[in-house]
Amino acid sequence: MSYELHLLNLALVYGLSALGLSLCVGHVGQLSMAQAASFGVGAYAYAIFGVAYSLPSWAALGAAAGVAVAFSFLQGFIARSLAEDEFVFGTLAFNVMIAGLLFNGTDGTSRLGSLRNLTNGPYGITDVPPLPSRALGAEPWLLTLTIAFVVVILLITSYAAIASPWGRLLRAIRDSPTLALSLGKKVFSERARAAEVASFLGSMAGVLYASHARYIDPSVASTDLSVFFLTCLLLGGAASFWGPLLGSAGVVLLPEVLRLFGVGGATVASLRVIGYAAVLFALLHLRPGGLLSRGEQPGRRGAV
Amino acid sequence: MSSFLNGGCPPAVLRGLGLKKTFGSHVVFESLDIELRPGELVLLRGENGAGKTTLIDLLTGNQRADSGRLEILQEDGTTRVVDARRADPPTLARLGIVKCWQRPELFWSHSVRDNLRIASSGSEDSALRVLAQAVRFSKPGRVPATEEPDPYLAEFGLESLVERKVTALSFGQSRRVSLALSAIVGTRALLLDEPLASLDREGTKAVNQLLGQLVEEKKRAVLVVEHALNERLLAGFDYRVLELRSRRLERKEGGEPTSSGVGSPVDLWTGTLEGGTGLRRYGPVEPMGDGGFLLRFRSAPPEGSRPLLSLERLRVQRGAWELFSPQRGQGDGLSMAIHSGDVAVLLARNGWGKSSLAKVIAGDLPATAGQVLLNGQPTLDLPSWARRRQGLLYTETANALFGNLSVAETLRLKVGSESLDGLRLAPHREVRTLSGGERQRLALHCALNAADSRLLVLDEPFNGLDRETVARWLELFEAAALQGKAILICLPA
Amino acid sequence: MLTLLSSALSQGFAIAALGFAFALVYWSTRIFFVALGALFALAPFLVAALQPDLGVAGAVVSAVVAVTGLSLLLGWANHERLLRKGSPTGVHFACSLALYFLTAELIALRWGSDVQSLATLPGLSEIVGGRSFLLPTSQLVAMSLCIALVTAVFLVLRFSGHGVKLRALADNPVELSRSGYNPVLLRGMAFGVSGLVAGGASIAIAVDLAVGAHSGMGALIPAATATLLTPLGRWRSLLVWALSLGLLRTVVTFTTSGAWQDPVTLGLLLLGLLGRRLGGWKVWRPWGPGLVPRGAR
Repeated sequence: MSYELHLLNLALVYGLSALGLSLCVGHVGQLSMAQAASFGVGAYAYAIFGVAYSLPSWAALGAAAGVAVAFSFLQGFIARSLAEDEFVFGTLAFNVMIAGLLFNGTDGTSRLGSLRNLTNGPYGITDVPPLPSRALGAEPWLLTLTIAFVVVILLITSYAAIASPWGRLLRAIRDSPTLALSLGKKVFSERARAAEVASFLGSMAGVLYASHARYIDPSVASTDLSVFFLTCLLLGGAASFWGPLLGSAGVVLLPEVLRLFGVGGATVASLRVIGYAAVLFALLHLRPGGLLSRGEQPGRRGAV
Repeated sequence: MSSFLNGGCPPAVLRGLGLKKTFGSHVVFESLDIELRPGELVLLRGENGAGKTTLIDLLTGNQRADSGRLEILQEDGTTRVVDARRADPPTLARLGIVKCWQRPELFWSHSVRDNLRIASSGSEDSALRVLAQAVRFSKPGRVPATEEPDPYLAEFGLESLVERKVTALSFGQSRRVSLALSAIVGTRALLLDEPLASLDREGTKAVNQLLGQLVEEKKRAVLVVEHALNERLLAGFDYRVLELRSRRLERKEGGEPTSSGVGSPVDLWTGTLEGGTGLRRYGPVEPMGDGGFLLRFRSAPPEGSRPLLSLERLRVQRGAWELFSPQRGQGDGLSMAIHSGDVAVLLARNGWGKSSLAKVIAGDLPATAGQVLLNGQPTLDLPSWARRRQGLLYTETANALFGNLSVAETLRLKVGSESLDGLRLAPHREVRTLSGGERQRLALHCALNAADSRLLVLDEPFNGLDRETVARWLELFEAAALQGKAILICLPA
Repeated sequence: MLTLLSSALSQGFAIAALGFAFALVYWSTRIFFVALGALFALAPFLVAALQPDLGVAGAVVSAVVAVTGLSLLLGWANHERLLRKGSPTGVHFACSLALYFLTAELIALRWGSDVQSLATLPGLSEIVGGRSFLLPTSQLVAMSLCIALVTAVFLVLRFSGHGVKLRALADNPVELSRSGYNPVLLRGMAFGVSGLVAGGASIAIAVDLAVGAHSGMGALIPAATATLLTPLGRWRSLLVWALSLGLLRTVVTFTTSGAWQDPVTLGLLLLGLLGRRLGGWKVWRPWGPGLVPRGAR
């Protein structure tokens, strides 16, 4: 596969996930650290259906979508039950837990897909079927096209949701949950709904990633990745539609800059994380954007 | 308690029965009954700390009762019963019972029109409805024009404000929008916590108009909590009075306010200060521009000493406006001087900038121009803790305490000793369980007894206190002034 | 059986020490000082690196001082700055997380990804090698150090009046400043002591077990779990939670495997947080998720 197509695929996939996260972070105003958990679950679901049960690619995608929906209810439950501080840490905890389960979900010997070896643990799953199908897998641009197709459909739906009265309600909840409650809005339900959609989009992005990378391991659900998605989000603007997409494109291209300077080897992995962390840090200080969850209330000053 | 006393009286739309609320060992009500009827304005009176806001909260689900139930009459004639121990705001709002907060709560990043629309749109429960709505729109980013006409725009006089972001509204306008939002959802009963507070003449007129429409035209049940001072503003209405006294609700006759607020604020406060103490006004009444006045009182003759506090041509930015500016007729900025032994009273309407001024003096807010001098020394960028150590003590009475600390811990922190000294409060009680009145007493006690304080700046310390309590505090202020302290009190005109 | 018990206690006190460090910042500022985990990982590497030149005692002191200083720096340059801009707690958390990753990777770059144990350091190995009272001496030493740290923090907060000030700081920092106390100094103190305790605890743990560049998050999780499950300001409850977690984790390790410790811990955290919401434990906020606006009693 040409390098450009590889980057394009990554940008599309991460963009979708970041957009999903923006619903939770930018529009509802709750910082979720569990997007990578959804991403990982989607990727693993697709891989398991495709490899262990040998389903054809589209069937695996459909089945994985089902798993994604089910998993999203879990995230929705957390969003409904926790708020503010606790939600942030709770999602981080949830993410670490899911990553841990993916890492440990094996006894080392059983067949993949069986109850004793759901995920192949640290060894990961290889030979994940590409989209649109194994037969057509030889054409990399076809894969990119398929990914783009799925992403665009989901993006259109997301845009519709964001621009609809429901999206406006989410932003209202972000501005003043107290007022929303006192006007009869089901604040916690709507937050849960936003978290569910965010999770679903993240999972679908994971599915697409698995079909692109052909090999996945538990790092696909790591907390680093959650931080990474957050960076994508903030770089472009958390509460807008194009922001997360542009931000993802930017972040995907960042390591290419490193490559230009001839940095390679084991240090690249560390430097990449350092790079993302540094960018995130800088963004948070310079333009927190949609993370300011209460809009601009008159007379509100910084704390002492 | 519930009976159709007059013939033809419509059935109650909201009933609270057997409401009980305690905070630890402090009982607010034992078993309270209240009912509100459509087309009726009820004024809820009571001393500070009697539980007026608590009662409103219980009726709207913002606080949970220890026992009791709420009965709401629906439009179709059925009655919904809600357990007051488990009520919450969304449930009651969906039944048409809404509270309007004193401090306007709005959806800050939206326009007035969007605020109204958000309030009136139903909750998007099903995913299909969301999808259907999503598919209906034509232009990206715009909500379709086929939505219903914006409710209450005309009636509440908000047409001119419709596209404005709510952050650009004045206080009075925000209050009106806030009321509109509550009116949209509160189809059965509206409970308003001090809707007239901090409004200027124009704002008061507008709010009164809204109240009239709500009660007379739309036949809502409206309950209003208001301070004695503002009661006279309701004079045009025909309202029922309920008074919360000693944990019981009593009916009072007619709309006669208990306090006789005759005369101008200057005379009123001069009379209050001179009446109960040895303080006497001296010097002229200094106009502070834009309707504000500074009065000075002393009991001992003035010495020719350097002023303790001196403000020179002060200008302050508040939100989008500049205070103490030529636009407000205050020329060069605000200037004033206060000497040791003075009890100075700054009288100004709400919105004038008393709190902002107090914060600038205290060091919480920067001034855009001018100087604040303590003992002749410019304070420049000194933070509030440094000014406190120089003897300036600022008490923003509404916000002066720490909820999680006990009374004893608060005293130790602010006064330096745990002696209660006449303060009738249990030392182990947590501050957040105290009523508003008790918190005020604690805050003022801390202010007066704190060590190493030369200048006290008190922001509206007497809100809601009755005559005798105010007089007692003034005596204590006089004593402090005789010891050489200076006191600046900001009061609403 | 004895091994299980001593492991449980050892881990419990270690969690308590790090938990106290985390809570010092969280309970006074609502900030999740996640970067503490990276400082935790740093200390043993510093000791090992400085030991040849300064000897064990000198290295330990220098490492602790360095970590304390770094903690103060992070608190001031990062969090103080965000506070001045009025950023919500989510931003503090994300920033702290970014700093954690930054620091952890820098440690990995410099010292590699392997774990560092201090038990083999010359000067220490003689003291902590071997067994006493049927248990490895290293474990006893580590446990004693953690107990000492926890006790010291508790006593200092109790009897110096700073505990009340920190609680007031969490509640109403504006008013605390008006009462004459410098909140920047108080917060600095919280961050500094937090770093000191974390550094000390880390060195103690590295004497018994081993600490690596990426161990920080793993150590922080049980500490933060214990803190979040404890009502605000209750240090003794925090100790109890920490010890319980230590027991739980040890039992899990003995019965299944060490890899399940974290999922179980976090499952407990989620249960605790959810249970608090749904079951209505005594939460320090007056109603629900803190949604009743201030001033509108």
